[in-house]
Amino acid sequence: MSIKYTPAAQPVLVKWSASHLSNNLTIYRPTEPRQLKMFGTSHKSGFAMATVSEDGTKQIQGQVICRAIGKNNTPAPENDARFIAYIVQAAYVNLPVRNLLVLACTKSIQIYEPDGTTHLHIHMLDKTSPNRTESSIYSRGITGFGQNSLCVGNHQGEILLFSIPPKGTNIFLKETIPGHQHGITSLVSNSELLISSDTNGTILIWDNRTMLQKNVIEPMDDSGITSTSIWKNCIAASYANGMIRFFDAGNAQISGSITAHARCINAIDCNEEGLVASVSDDCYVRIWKLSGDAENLQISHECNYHIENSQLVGVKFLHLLRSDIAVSTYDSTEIIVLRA
Amino acid sequence: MTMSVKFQIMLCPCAADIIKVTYNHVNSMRKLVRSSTVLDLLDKAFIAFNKQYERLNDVEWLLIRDTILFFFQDVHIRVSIFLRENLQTQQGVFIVKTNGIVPNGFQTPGEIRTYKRGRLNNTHTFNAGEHHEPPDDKRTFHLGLNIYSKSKSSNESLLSDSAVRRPSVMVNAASDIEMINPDPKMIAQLNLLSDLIGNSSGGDSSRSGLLKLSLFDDDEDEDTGPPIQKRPQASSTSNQRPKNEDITIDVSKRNQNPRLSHVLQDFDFDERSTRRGKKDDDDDDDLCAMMDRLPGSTGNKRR
Repeated sequence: MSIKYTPAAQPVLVKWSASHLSNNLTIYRPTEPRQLKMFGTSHKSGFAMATVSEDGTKQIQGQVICRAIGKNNTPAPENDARFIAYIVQAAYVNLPVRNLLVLACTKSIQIYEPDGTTHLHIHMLDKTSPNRTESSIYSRGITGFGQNSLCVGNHQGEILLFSIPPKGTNIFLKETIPGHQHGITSLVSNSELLISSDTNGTILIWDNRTMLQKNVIEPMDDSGITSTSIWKNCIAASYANGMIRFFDAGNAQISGSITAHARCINAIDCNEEGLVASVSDDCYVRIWKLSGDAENLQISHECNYHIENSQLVGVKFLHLLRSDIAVSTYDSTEIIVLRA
Repeated sequence: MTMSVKFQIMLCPCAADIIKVTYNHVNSMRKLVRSSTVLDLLDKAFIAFNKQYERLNDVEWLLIRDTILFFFQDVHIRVSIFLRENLQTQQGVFIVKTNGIVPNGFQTPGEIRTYKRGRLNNTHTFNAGEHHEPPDDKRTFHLGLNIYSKSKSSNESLLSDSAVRRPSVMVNAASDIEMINPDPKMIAQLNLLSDLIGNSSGGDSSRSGLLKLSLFDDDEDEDTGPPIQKRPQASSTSNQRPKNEDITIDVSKRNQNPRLSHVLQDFDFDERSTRRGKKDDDDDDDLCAMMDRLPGSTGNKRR
């Protein structure tokens, strides 16, 4: 095991505790050098974030609360339980034209400026009740690609494609792309491909210029996928039964698998060096190193880090070229930063 | 109570185990319900629950579990039974132990497999940091059972495969009523009591409680049908099976029990006094005469 982590002197503190959701940590990696990093986790109907200086000492907290929208798309009172929306997944999206904070909630998708101050757009999800197993209406899976495209998945297995203008609130839904038979759990993209996974364990590989399906990876066993990530042309998928599997995006074949955790894996993340971090309800963060490429993959185990009595719900690499990570815990307001 | 539910949901090894927790809850409720209409409703509700939820897969259960956990977020009440049994820290955080048996559908952590062109190429292992065992379907699932129940052995614990712990203060919970093994002697005593006090409408002549005395050796039972042989002398009763559970009381030997004979001696004062005062009239029973007869009384002796 070649990586040893030590916790940073000061954890990042946000105002509200993190909910128990998959992928419940998002990091805004600034594109411009002067901007500061932002960390955020979702908490029930709100999103709590902190803007942190480079050394971690100065932190400014901020919160965003989901809007409750009642009938006829008018705002509803906050304490009306029929219209309360819970955040299922929150993510900062960096597009060449613009940066956004997207909250994928039950019943709606809400888009804000990254600092949370300005509400840009709200999209109500179709209320037609699905004739499938999902009986709640939600959106999950957020990614951006191309110049100005934002994709969010929904409970029916459709991918909603939004067009984002460089300025202003003129965000509109360009296309609804069906594909999955079950609710979407995760979306990731690179320069050419869009990868979507669902609760059944199916992965679809799309060409993100034409939005046509290129390939299908059928479920490997009864377990569904909780989170995905991509490194070179290798798709990393984490499952609810504690497995991590790697697939070749080119030919949809399996490249590797790890029996990684003793409980459900809540999040995985990759950086550009080939490091993969996975966190689970078993209180462990595990780091793996990928080398080679998808056709000829080598996997080695780099690190186990145990945080006592903490069900870990999110992990993200702080930099794409370094191994420092940040980890979020259910029911805790601390985002733990681990430095190698 | 809130913390109990939070404990059960959080510590479920996999999200689909919420079904097993519900099964345990429903089973415990069935033992407490007495009315048959309520029991019927409970069964119907349980069947409806099963129909809806048994077909969900594990990631769908995750969303259900996460939504339930929204309600319990930030609740850190410390509960005395959890603190005593080392399930909760002083800050109110539950202690999560994840070594031991992995849940159903999981494989023990530790293996890395690589594939080439879809076929298994290489397998090597890594150190998972903890000891794990393969899933075991036969173990009873403990979350959702009564945590105050006295019927648990000291080897079990709330988390089903943690280390041995000492059972703490236990109370006979209502659901234990059927589980306690009744003492057979107690049952026999209660039965006897109910027979003596209660009605003997059973009609069974052997249990009617009627005692028949046969004081003489050649007594015969008049009620019984078939004529019986004359019961021979006591020395040969061993040949015969006594019917109706006869008890033979032999008063020929007087001084068998020293204590009893001592008690009998105490009664002898009546014999002596009657022998002494035999000449007096028996009608002479006024108080003075009685006092005269008392042993040891010196005065008032009538002359």
